[in-house]
Amino acid sequence: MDRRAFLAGGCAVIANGAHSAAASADGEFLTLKTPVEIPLNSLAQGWLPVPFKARFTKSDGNDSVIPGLAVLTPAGAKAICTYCPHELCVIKLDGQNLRCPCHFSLFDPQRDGAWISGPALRRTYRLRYEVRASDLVVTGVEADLERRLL
Amino acid sequence: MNGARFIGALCAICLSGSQPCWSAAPTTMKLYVAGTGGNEVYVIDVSTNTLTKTLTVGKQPHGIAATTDGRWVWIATEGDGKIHKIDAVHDVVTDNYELGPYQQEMEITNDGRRLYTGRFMDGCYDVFDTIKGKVIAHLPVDGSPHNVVKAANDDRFMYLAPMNLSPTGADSAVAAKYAIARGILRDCDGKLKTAYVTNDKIYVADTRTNAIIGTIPVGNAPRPIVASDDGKRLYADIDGFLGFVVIDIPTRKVIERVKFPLVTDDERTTFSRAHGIGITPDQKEVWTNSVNHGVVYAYDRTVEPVRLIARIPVGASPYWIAFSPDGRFGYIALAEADAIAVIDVATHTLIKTIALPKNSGPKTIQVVAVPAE
Repeated sequence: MDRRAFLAGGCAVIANGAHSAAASADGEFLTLKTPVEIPLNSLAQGWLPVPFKARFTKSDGNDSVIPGLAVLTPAGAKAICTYCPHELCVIKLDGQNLRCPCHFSLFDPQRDGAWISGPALRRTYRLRYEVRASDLVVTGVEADLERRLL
Repeated sequence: MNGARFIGALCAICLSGSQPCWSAAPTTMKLYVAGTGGNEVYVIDVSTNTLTKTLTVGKQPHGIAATTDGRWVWIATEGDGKIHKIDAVHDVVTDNYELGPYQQEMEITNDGRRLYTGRFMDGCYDVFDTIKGKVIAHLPVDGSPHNVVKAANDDRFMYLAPMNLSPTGADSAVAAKYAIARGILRDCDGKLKTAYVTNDKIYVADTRTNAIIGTIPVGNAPRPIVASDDGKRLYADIDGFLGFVVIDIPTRKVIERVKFPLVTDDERTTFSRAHGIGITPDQKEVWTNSVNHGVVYAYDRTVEPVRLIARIPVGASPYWIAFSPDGRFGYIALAEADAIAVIDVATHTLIKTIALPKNSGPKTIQVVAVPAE
């Protein structure tokens, strides 16, 4: 069993349990400086990712810009932070999964970036978003990400 | 490492005379690429910078080490815990050996006799005797073994650079807790571990005794490292630092911390990390990558402090570095883009991108000067 398989299989149990301890900031968000508005009509074609960047101010006063993508899935329109939680490589949509090019962690965009396998060990950092009229609007990012960026 | 450097030195001598090196010592320059995303090693002809052969070796190729004469290339496959011996003249796999899971980077002594290879989850480097075909010694370390290098002209020592399960202590602790609970972490002898100790140093191993004889603290987990051919300097990427450190080998001390200059708003506001480092064959420049910023940095190492001489945007995330022995080309593995960037060393400009199959995940790369039949 390889390192990724270990982390995929061996730690699968933690996806819903222990990993939430690592992501204890779930539910806590840092507000973006400016909401990101993605027109829903740009997502009309299913599984066609629309990349975007979101900016927020860190506690040290400096700004940080993070990558994300919006995509229409059978589970609805989703906004995903595309930093892999393992080493902050930028993950990409590969078929119907999100895949990290560095160590091949997989995430499920239909479940808002839920961890499937690989050394990331946790879901993608959450984005706070909602559908407003004709836009998907992203307004916040999971606070736990900040410690990785300071 | 590092038949290529040996031939590179020969080239420098040859080029100073009336005949080019190739006419005196016919070789074929091949770039070997570990396709970590699959089961393949890709072979690129350096004379044309084109993909010429694909070898299926094993699951998730990661480490590459070539004998000094360029005759044999060893590949470590992480996914099935094996090392594979490739006949570089004919590009065929001739042997493989199962050493245990999570094989990572490798280095080989100049006589081709001993191969040093790390087991990521076991905190252990193995010394593999290539003649006997078996492991003859273990080197236990903190952290998770990943990289190992030697100085091309002085293989008395191997420099072992274990990383950690994750770049942050908190995330490493989470990973370790569950790995221990699952019985995944073991020691050199296969005993289950009950604790995981993170690493922040480079180990010095004596290749004559196969014992660790010292350490070099670098402040955080070392990532890719490279040694100058004369054995006087190490250059290391480390976690949590966007740049690299310069190490004086004789005193085993960090003598310089070199931070990449962030010149655009995008660079100042976007996270990045340093990964992949190499020294040009003429030993004048050290190159390393800013992964998320998509930039390769070249520094003049003939002066200290080292001096930035070029920023080379490559349009994707650079990850590992290698050079052609004649010093013409720098090769950058672009794992994210499934491609290899070719950089003209003299002008520090990107001149070509070699596409590889989708999801091939090119990582470790090495140019080997392969002799004629």
